[in-house]
Amino acid sequence: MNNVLKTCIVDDDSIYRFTMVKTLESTKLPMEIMVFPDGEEAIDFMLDNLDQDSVFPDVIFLDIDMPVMDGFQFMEEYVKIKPRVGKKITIYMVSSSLDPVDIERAKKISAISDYIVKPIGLNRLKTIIEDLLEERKD
Amino acid sequence: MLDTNMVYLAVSKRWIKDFVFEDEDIVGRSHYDIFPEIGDDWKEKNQLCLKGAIDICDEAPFYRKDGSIQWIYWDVRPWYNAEGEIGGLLMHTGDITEQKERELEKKRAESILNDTSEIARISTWEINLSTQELLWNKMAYEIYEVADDFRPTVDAALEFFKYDEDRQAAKVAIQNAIDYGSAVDMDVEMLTAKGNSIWAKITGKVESLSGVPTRFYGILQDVSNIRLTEQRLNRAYTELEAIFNSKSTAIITTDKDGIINRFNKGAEKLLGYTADEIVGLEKPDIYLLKEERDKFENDITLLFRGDSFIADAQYNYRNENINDTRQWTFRRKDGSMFSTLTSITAINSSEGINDGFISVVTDISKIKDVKNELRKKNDLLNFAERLSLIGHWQWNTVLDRVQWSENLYTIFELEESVTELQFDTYFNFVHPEDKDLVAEYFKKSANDKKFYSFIHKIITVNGVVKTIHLVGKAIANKKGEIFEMFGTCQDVTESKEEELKLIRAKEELEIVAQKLAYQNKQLADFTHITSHNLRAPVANLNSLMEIYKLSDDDEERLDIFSKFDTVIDRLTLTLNTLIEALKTKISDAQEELESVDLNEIFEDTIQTLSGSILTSGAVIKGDFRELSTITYNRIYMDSIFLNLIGNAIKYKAKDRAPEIIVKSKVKNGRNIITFKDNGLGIDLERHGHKLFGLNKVFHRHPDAKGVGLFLTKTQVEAMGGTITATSEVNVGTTFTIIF
Repeated sequence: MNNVLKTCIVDDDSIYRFTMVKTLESTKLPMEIMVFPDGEEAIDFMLDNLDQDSVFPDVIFLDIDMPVMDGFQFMEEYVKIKPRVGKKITIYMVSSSLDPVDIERAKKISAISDYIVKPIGLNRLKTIIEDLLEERKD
Repeated sequence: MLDTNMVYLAVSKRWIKDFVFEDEDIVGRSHYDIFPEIGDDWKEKNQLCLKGAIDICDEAPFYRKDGSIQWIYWDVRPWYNAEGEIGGLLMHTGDITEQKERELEKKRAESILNDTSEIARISTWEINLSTQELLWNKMAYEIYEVADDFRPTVDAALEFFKYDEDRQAAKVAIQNAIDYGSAVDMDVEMLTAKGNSIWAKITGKVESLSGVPTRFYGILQDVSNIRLTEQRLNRAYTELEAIFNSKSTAIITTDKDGIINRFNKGAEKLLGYTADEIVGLEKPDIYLLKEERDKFENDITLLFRGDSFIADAQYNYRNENINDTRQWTFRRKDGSMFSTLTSITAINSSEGINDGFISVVTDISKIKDVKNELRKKNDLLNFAERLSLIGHWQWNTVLDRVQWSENLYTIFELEESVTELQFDTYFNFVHPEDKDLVAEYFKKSANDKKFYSFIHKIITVNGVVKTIHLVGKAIANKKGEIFEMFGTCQDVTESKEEELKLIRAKEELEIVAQKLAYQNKQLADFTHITSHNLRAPVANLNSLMEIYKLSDDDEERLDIFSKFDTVIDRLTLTLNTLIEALKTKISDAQEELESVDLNEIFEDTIQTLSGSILTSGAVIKGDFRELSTITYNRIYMDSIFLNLIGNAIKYKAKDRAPEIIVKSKVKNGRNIITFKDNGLGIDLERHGHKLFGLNKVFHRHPDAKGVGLFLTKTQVEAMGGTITATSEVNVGTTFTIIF
């Protein structure tokens, strides 16, 4: 299972989710994709599976604007449970916002690897996934 | 020698000389013929002598027929012939007039001496050196202030000496007098019998008889007054010398001929000449200006002779009792000039003839410089005061005397000839509206011993209303009592008006700034909206295009295509909302005001929402009793009611039918409408910040689009109102609009 990258998409926009899944699939890289429509559902999944973090994603593409629990609120909750998670999770904040306030805020959160402006684009996505797969081999 | 008939028988040569009969033949002539002045009394005495008596007289005045007095002595006795009978008279007489006059002279001198002793308080003393006896005259008793029965001795006299060393010195002097016959001259301080301290001058000398000193005698003079005068004179002289030697004051004196005879150190320093160069010069032309000298002479002449003075060659102003102090310009040796204040005093003899002048010269060039500087500064101050419309004042609070600066008079438009200023002078100018305020301020100042700056209105002499700003300081003495206040007074009428204008401008600016800030915020909101809400669908479109291109499956392509529809629908809605919001912001909603009947709006809304009300079973109440009409934009009011009531139904609690209460009221002069529901409620802690944002949704509701509240807020704010919400999850939400 080690060579399969568990990839998670958290976004309320169904079209975006659809395009992400399609784009990821098109890379034909070994991945297992899971999707959540908002932060609360994603954090609930993690809380439910704390005792078996192997099901936790390796990488999360996290949207900012979402109903119920947005990206930042998700991060707050995630930071709380992070010490109890044995697995390394790479998180990308993904948003269509170019608002510097959002970008700055995301960069201040150490658990976030990078801030990506939508649309991500096939090539960028492919590079990210390949790099992560490469890391896991080491 | 005369016979019994008083006829001369013989005369001696001396007799002839004494009585001046050198050219006459006396023998054979009668005595009474020769001296017809002889009276009967003398003739009678002669007769007695002829009967045997002897008449001897040491001195007697002989009044001669020419009126002169001849002092004579005589010895007249009878002579006897051989038979023992009286043959006549033997007359022995002599002229002692000269001797007698000398004696009288001595008596006169003694009398004068006595008088002098009395006046000069000179006593005499005499010590008999063989017996050590001491004799005093009457004055000595007075000087020593002892009783008349006091018996002086040498030791007792020495007891009156105040100091022992004087006593010892006196003893030595007496011993020296005895041993060497030396004289004494000493001044001693004595205490009289009555305890008065006096100064006595004692002089004495020794009289010797055949080389043996027998008598030591002299005088003792009470010189207290002299001594005192001498001391005073000494002091005055010393003081005068000190003044004369002063280096800071120049003193120059001239003699009766106008020749400089003293030129002190101060003068040397001041003028740069040495005394040697100057003393002996006639008239001080070397350092004085001729025109000033001429003016001085004129002034003095005018002063003493007055206007009626007619040129008089004999007149010399120098003989007047001049005491003049004025400014003189002096010329230094190096030629430079400087100002002095010089007092010139004439020294006149008792006959009123000038004996010279004393000039006391003080260099006032520095004082003058300072004065000039001060005058310049004062001019500047006046100028500055005029420019800045400031005046200054000084108030002696104890005497209630006030001084105003020139410009303060100008501010109050008061004649400068009015100099008797008091606090009331100022207070009477205070505008009636401000009198209480001013009185209060001064009372407070007096209490707190501190001057508070304040602004008030005045009415000037010419009736002009001005606003003045008083700033000052209160000065208290050591006891903490105020005795003076001083400060400035500025005419701020114009600046006050300017200030009002400024305040108005500022207020306007603030409104503009508020508008700008609001517009900025709107702009920021729009940037945000663009960022989030327009970029998102565009990004989706891009992504869809990308996977559409990658896809080679027709079915998949169809699927993707249907997604395009969804995205484009979404984009259209967003664009429409934005256009709606933009319209609201851009159009001047205030221009379309009308009286809006809230009951009417409420009914219309119920009508529009009747479908969802029916399905949800909502109960909606409108209470507009307190406030039934609001002047507002009708379309907005419709939209507000529709969105808020619609939301309340849309986000109803799952387990209960919606209950909605719409209520209007007036609070603090503001119109308020509240929309209260019992729906899902919102976690405001989490979502409060984006409650009214575009496309913000908080519930996983299929119809949640995040448009309604955004538009509502835009409309409310465009009309100058605010919208807020309170909410509790699963209890309900209340929206409050303040119009």
